[in-house]
Amino acid sequence: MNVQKPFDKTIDLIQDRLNLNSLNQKAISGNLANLNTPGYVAKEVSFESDLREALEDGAMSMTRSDPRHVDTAGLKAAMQSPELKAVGPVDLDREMVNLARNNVEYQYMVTMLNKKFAMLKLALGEGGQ
Amino acid sequence: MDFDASMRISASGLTANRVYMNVLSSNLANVNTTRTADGEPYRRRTVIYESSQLDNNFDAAVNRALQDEIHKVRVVDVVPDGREFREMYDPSHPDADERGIVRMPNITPIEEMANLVAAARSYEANLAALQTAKQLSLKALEIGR
Repeated sequence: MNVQKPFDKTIDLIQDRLNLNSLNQKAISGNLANLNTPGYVAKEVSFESDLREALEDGAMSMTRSDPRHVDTAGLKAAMQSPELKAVGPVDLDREMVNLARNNVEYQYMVTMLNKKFAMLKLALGEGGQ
Repeated sequence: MDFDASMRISASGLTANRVYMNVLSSNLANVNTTRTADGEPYRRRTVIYESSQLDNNFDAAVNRALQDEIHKVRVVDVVPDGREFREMYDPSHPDADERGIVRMPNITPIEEMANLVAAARSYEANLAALQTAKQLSLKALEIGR
């Protein structure tokens, strides 16, 4: 029987994602602060594309039962050890878009986390009985 | 705490732009000043920005590798502009030379106004980043509620 642990991967994943969003926020702040600094090179957190791939592959629920399956360990590692990549001079529009997106993503993740906790609470109370 | 660093970076951007706006205001105010302490007309001033590391030892120790790459901004120096003074013919002016020419500050009001608008936009961008960081840290308090 497959016993589902109460605190499963979802919570860890959301936690990693929140950490990444806060790092991203810092990178955007740094870029905007240096908008007029000569020679400054803008930085971006480079987990985005890896993470998107992972989410599209359904990495969260995928079990690797065959060695020929896609290995998601690398993607997880990418999420847990993000890198900053240089993206050339600061582009105000790009930074503002990233800022808005990062904001929405963070709020979304917190809402997801709260929903998860609400579900656990519901389960603890035997469905409100 | 990460948002703390983010807010301090944005604050450095706000400070730098405010300094720049002060310098620009000073330039605009002195657009016709012909006398200064060193005997010359007023010379246009401008600022030099430098990206520098967040001076927080605790953060640096905790998250060295990434912390090193995200920089705040600071104004290193306010420097005089080396351009020539404007020459204006006005024999009635007390500071005119024997040919009737007065040396005026090397300031173009239009240039200063354009810079002022750019500085204000840059200030707003930093403010937006600061407000977002604030929203996110408030949202973090809602975790588990």
